[in-house]
Amino acid sequence: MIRRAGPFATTSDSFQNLPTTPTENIYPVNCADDVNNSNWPWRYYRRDNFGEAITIGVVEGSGSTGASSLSFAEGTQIWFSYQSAAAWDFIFSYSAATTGNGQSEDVSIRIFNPITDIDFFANSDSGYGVSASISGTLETISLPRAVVPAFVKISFTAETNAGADWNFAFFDSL
Amino acid sequence: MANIEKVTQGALAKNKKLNEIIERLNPLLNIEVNEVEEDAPLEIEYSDNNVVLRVPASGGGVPEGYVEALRDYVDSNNTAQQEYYLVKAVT
Repeated sequence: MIRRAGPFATTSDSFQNLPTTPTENIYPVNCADDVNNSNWPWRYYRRDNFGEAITIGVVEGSGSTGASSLSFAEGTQIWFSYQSAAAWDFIFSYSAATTGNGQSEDVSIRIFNPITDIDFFANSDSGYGVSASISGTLETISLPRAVVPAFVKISFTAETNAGADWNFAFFDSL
Repeated sequence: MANIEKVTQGALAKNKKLNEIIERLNPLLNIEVNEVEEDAPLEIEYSDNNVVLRVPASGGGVPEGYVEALRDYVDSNNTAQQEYYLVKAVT
């Protein structure tokens, strides 16, 4: 049994309240992959274009539609932290295709620990004059046990003038 | 449990004390326990047939000096759970 940290946490303080304004280094704390508890919503931060305001998203149950699926066109980052009594599977699906027109194009997804900079997952594609595309359905990565909040960041990039069609789904298929 | 029969024949029947003891024991074989309202008194009713205990309900409230606190935790199945526990300030 692990006492709940959070609801938000930093690397040095596991018991932060909901910040007045979403703050990059104050991560929402989740209970592994339990997305069905209204007392402990599964929250994440999201920031588009690597510069826009941070928004808080909530994953409510699993499913191919609704809050667990995201679509975006530019580079985006998602980050969260979690606690778990045992290692658990973070399952996700994604697809991306650039929409450029002859430019040098590149798409990539990277899931990593932002504190240690260790990768959990990475995939990318590039091309010149052709659309770059990557996809994965029900990809599974094992995240380690974490008594104190452990931190995860997902980085989506699209190096092209016209952006990309990105889709991402938590815990289910697209 | 069935009542103990009085002795009516033989040498033991001549011992009247024995049957008096049997009369006193038989009600104890039919003890009945009833829960009554929290503020009702504890009562014991003894009759020739049985014994009835009337026990006030405990009420189940929070003991004096304690308050309930809610705790969120992750269980061994990585599932979010909640539970109440009682806390009391150290004075």
